[in-house]
Amino acid sequence: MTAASALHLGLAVAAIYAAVALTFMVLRISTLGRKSLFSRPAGSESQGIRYAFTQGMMPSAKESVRMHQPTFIAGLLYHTGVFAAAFNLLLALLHVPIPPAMVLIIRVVMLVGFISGIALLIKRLAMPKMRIISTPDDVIANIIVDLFLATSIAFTMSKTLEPWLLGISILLLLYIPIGKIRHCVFFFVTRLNFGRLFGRRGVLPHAAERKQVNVR
Amino acid sequence: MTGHNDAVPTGGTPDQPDLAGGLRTLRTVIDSRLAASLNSCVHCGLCAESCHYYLATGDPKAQPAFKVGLVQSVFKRYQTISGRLFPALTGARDFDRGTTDEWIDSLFGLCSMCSRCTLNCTVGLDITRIVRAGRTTLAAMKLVPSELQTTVDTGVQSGNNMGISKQEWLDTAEWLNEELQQELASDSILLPIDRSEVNVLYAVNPREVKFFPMSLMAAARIFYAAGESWTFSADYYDVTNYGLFSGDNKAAALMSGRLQDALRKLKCRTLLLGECGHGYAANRWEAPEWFAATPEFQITSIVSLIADYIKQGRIKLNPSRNTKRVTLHDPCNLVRMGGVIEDQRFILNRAVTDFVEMYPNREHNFCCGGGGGQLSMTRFARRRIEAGKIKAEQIRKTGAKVVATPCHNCVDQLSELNKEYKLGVEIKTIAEIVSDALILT
Ligand code: SF4
Ligand code: SF4
Repeated sequence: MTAASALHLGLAVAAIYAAVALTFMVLRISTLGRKSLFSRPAGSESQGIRYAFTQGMMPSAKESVRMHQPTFIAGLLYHTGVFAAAFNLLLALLHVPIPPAMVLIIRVVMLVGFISGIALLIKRLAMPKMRIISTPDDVIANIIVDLFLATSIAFTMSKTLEPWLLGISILLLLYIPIGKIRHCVFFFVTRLNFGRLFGRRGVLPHAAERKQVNVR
Repeated sequence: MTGHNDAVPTGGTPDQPDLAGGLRTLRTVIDSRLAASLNSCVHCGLCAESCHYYLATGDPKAQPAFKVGLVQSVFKRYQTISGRLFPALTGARDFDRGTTDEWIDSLFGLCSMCSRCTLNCTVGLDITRIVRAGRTTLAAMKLVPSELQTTVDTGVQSGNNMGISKQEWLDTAEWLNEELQQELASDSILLPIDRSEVNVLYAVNPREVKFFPMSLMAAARIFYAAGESWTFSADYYDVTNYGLFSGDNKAAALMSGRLQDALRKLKCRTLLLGECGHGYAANRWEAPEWFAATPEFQITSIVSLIADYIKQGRIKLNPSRNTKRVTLHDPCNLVRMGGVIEDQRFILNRAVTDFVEMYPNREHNFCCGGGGGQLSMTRFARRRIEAGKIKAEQIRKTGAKVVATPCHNCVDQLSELNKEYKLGVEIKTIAEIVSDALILT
């Protein structure tokens, strides 16, 4: 087996491991506690869920986001960069040719994501308020993702760097279930629960749809 | 606050708590929703300014994410594989006396369980439930601050949180009834006790009985004007439920269960909850989960009922009797976590001539600082008053002379803030304002 094929095999194994581990975690927590609720709803859970994944994600819905717009935008760009890098990796693995203009766009998106990631890391390390809520995992997860972005950017410039990209991708996949990056699945579960809670109680979306009463 | 969340009885004492028992309780209270939340916090810190404790003090330990982290670190240590294998990496932490001391100081002493952070969390973590899971764990180890525990114990032992004897209650009701009969020139019983097969069983905050009987009269006047068929129970009339705040689900269920039993005994159709934010959340939203049963009767707030009376033309109001500028404080558990959002506005717009909103309002409103059992935990009183600064500023900016709020605990806290921050306002409940505007023919 060549080094390249070993890396490809390693990547496949790591991807399967991450998927299985995350599925196991979600299934495991889904067995905890009782499922049905008994209070009579005052609103609609389904409307609440819809709200949670649509308007509820907008800065207008959250004072916390409005107050921290640079962080919010950096987070958004960071995640967009990661999705672009994952897309880039997938295309490379499938040997799909990418037009040069597209390569440039993906590269810029990943670069902006990388810069955003570094900025968020600096913020975490520099601010006492952030340090007190941070764990080593918060730093390591950020660094691994930044490395993934950096190698992805480099790979778009030189295909000879593919072993590096594969190696970092394996590391990232192995790390996902261990640390905070697991929020890539739990985010959706929690958001769903958020929508159910406030929808059921008749708090959202009705209140949020009342013409801008809370925004001055 | 749903699911299998009963405290597991432990054998320890406050001096020598049963930590293993506490961990068993934590394991029990963490259901799938809570576990998802605890796996979702990305430590972004964006929730900090949602919290009045953090805003007022700037203390990094007051930010919601820090409080989440306290519970999350123990959850990771004992309930996740990576936390067991790599505790230092994941921030997983042993559950020891140092941890429980921090939990008490933070989860009881720096949180009014207002859920403002829950609404503002970028992910949507149910932070209040995380705090309450920690409180339930501490309750199982007998580590609830003694003042709060005494309030719960008094409620459990005497049937109301102020320890009012049945005779005192009946005497007060009789006296108020006579006053009302005189005022309204009526021979009817206007403050009925233990009347059966009526529409409404009314539950109130016992501080109304002890210190603010005029607010009971205000409600009775409104019922009289609306022609309502209603009653109090001689035995169980306490709408409050401090078990919600101490985390003790057994005590909480016992207290809510008594109201339900009183209603069934008297064959009433509606459990009417007086002006009490947490009493509404406990009895309307949590009790059915504690009993794992949907009640066969209606549970509603007096605020919603009064709004209905106005809509149905059952009562008429003259707003020119309330001409001072009025603003509204939204109790967190009635509004943000209760869903009773517009009724109080509908009422005030018809009961006063000059109603102004404070900003932010409705589900985004700031907590006054009196929730979460803070009013009873005297050891944290200074923090409570300091955190209330945010609310005081909200009020001051409106220029209002009256602050209306449908919660007697909020009335208490707002009254203290009024003195501390020299706001020069009157604090009134919705029923009191409506009663003042009531046209009695
Ligand atoms: S529930 Fe309220 S008091 Fe508690 S952390 Fe959240 S915002 Fe602060
Ligand atoms: S906003 Fe939510 S995800 Fe971010 S630190 Fe606060 S609790 Fe955690």
